[in-house]
Amino acid sequence: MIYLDSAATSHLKPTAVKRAMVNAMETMASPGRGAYGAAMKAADKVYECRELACRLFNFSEPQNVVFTLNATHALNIAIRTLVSRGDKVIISGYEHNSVTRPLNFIGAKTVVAASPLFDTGSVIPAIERNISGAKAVVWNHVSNVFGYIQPIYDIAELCRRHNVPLIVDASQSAGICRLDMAELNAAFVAMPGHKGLLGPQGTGILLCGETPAPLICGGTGSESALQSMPEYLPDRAEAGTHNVVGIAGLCEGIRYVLSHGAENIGEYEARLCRRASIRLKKSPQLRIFASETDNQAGVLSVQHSTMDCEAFCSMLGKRGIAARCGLHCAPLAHSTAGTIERGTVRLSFSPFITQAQADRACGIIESVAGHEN
Amino acid sequence: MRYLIMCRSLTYAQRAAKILERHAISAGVTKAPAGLSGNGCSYCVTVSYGKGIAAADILRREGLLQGKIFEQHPDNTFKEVFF
Repeated sequence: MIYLDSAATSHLKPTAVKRAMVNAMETMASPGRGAYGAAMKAADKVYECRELACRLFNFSEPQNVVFTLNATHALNIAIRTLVSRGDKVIISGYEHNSVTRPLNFIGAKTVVAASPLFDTGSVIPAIERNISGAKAVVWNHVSNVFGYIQPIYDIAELCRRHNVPLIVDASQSAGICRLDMAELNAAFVAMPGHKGLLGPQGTGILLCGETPAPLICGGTGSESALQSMPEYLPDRAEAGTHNVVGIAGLCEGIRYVLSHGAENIGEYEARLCRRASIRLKKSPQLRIFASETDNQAGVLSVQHSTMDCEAFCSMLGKRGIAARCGLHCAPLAHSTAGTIERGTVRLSFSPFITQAQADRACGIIESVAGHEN
Repeated sequence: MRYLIMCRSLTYAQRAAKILERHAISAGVTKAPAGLSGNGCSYCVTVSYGKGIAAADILRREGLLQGKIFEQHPDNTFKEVFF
């Protein structure tokens, strides 16, 4: 199998991730539940992961690194902290359902500051036209459908100027782009652990520039005599037993990213993506969604001229290519790009895919696309 | 004898201990003895008897001195101290 679905989950991991998870299962209990060896070993591992995340994201507050189940969980905490029913919230035209559904559930007045795909220059004017009276801006750093890298530092600066808190959805950018919490100064940055950070499923991180409201309440191993949740982080946002096994794996994933450099990994994936897009553009049956500039990460959407994306993707699967088709839980992104009717087949690269594998995948895609016609 | 510096959570205690270690003060993290933490479970940083004042100074500077400091005697009794 050639795995080209890393935008969903980085199935291919550094070997240290699995080793760390087995070690955690064998030697660690739960942090904050005792002072015996296995509990303190777990506590040390969880804290180590907070510190590594601080290093990767240039963040100075390890206690404000909150562990979540995934990016959706992290985004729900952030959105429910800042947004109430009827509040005006500005979002990009490329948001995932993990942003739009919570906003819809709350009953926020969501304003889509839409701008054309890969047109970085139109982003700031689109927000500026709408930001007045906004309670928050929630913005996707990299589109999970098109790999479109949005100018997040300019957006953060604009939000600061208008005194509107920013929530960054870093689901596709964490581990492949420079994410500098000190420079962003965002209210919250949400990310999964199982994509670019190369950790296991069931892990996520919320970097908190503000103290969030608890999404769930329960035991924290602190102030146990009180019935209110602690006011301080991370306890306020981490009720219940931690996923220590997952966090141990995530720790090694982050360590891998730190040792190789997030931007180096991102550039490698983008290079594979550019090479594939240049080659696949030559297939007359294929429509390729590629940027003419350098604002595309290693995610490439493709449509076949006649075949629907499910059939196309299924044929690729039979030939050993793991890709994802449909709307990718991001109907808004497809509406913005004009692909909502048919969806796309998404190819997403990882640091563990070689150029030879990517080339082989392109050959198979060309072959499947050509045979259909 | 040693000092117990009360922290409001495990994570704060870990952060405090790391900072002390960076200043060459050996520090441990353990559960706070019953009765010393006001609102139930909490954690504390332990430092040796000779390092209490220096540790308190460092944590105060870092904004991490949040709780009381106790002297732990060999008979396992505690006395609050003020640095």
